[in-house]
Amino acid sequence: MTFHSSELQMNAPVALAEVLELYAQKASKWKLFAGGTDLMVELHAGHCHQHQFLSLHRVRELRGIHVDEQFVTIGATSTYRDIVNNEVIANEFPNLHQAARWTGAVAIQSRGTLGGNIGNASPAADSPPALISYNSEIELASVRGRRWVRYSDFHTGYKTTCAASDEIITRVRIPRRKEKFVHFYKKVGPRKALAISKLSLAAAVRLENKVVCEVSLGFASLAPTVLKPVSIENDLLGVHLSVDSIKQLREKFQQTLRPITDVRSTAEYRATVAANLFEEFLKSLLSCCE
Amino acid sequence: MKKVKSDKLATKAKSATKAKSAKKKDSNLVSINFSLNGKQVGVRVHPMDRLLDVLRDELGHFGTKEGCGEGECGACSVLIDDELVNTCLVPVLQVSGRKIRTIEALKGGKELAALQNAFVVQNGTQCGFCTPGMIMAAVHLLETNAQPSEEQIREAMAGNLCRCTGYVKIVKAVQMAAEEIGGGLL
Ligand SMILES: Cc1cc2nc3c(=O)[nH]c(=O)nc-3n(C[C@H](O)[C@H](O)[C@H](O)COP(=O)(O)OP(=O)(O)OC[C@H]3O[C@@H](n4cnc5c(N)ncnc54)[C@H](O)[C@@H]3O)c2cc1C
Ligand code: FES
Ligand code: FES
Repeated sequence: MTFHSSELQMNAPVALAEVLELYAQKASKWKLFAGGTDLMVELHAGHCHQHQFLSLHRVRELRGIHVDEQFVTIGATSTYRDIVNNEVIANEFPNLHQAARWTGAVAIQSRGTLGGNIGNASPAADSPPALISYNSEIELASVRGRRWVRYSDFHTGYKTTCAASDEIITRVRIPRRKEKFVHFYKKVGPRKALAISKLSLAAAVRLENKVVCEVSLGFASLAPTVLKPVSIENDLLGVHLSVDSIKQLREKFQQTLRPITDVRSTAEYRATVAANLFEEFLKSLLSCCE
Repeated sequence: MKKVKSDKLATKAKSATKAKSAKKKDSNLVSINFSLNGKQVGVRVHPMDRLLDVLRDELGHFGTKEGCGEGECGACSVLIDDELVNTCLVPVLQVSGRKIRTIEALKGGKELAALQNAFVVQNGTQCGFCTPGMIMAAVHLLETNAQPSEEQIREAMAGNLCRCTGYVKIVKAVQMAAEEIGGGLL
């Protein structure tokens, strides 16, 4: 065993109130623990130096998927299997269904949670782009109360979030839509290379006669955090899709991209891969209209 | 050479005894009960001990193997409440009150017989290190889907790595077992 479990503590309250109480009192000491598929790997590799873990697995209200007319609401400790098995998500939010199916293999999907994926805040994670493409919101709770924040505002930088030190993620909700949307989610890049180099784009678009009426995009691995490129969305709005407009959009995309990707040796390469992916997405929209 | 080895063993044994006596005094120990292969068991452990180590070191269930220790290889797979998990990633506190099935649970049952036979006939096992994990993944698949397609078998076994056989043989073995069991597992 490479990590010394005898030195580690774990507490597993049944009541959410107790979790919040502990987390608020000792915010600097307790580390939240959901399915452990990130944390156990970090502990094994010696990258996690926390000693006190607050397990969420006994808090019933944190797990489960609730569907009403307006929203699909997913408890933070719902697993990838819970998501894959939900029919409403499969039908209405295929990008999220896809993300859950892409994540690890069966044994990771049965333990890994949505809240853990968000809380881990990796810029390369699979569910965040999907959640952004559906304008999701996340609920943060603390002893001070609960609040909903737009998911696209949640990640503020590399592994940093807007959650206060006493706040935990309790739920994620996705607004249901009556209109028909086109869904797109694709990952590109070398397999097995650094996870971070795998670029992905999730999108949901409403089209009317080849005109983009609503669009929401989420990129992973393009910036230090999962990214909602608002200016690129704005460039797309109202555009009549055609071979020419796609060419123009691609050029503009590449110009816009420069400042948001960091200037490393791979930046140029990544910008081209991203532009190719963006173009592929636009072409898939066009082919939907034909 | 031999001497060095036995010295090493002696030191190992000594430190194990030391560890055990130290453990008795350890205030961080907790009692945890769960069902293991149909029997209730209780252990005194550290809450963050990996289920993998508890199964092997405390409960003598050596069929569950450690490969990577990081969720990548599937050698440590068991079923918890009928879900497939990697025990190297599970802190034992999280299995309190739950139902665990390891490869040993299959002893004498017809699913193991069918899977074992199929793995032998199809040459799905060589060194055998990955096999218990493979079988657990196959059992999990067949319990949820008695007649899986080749693609479904590949998806279900994707978290189980084998360094020896080509995966083709393993897929064939699972297909053969599925036919033999014919849905009887459910
Ligand atoms: C073999 C393997 C393959 C993987 N493949 C993928 C993949 O393809 N795509 C992918 O995106 N990920 C992948 N992962 C990473 C991991 O499985 C996911 O990130 C998973 O969703 C983490 O969830 P968890 O419950 O296991 O998190 P934990 O390990 O329990 O926690 C992860 C982090 O989130 C925090 N956290 C947990 N719950 C909350 C909460 N409610 N509120 C606030 N913070 C919280 C924890 O403090 C910790 O920092 C893989 C991991 C492994 C081991
Ligand atoms: S040892 Fe657990 S997955 Fe490899
Ligand atoms: S038979 Fe040797 S690892 Fe699979």
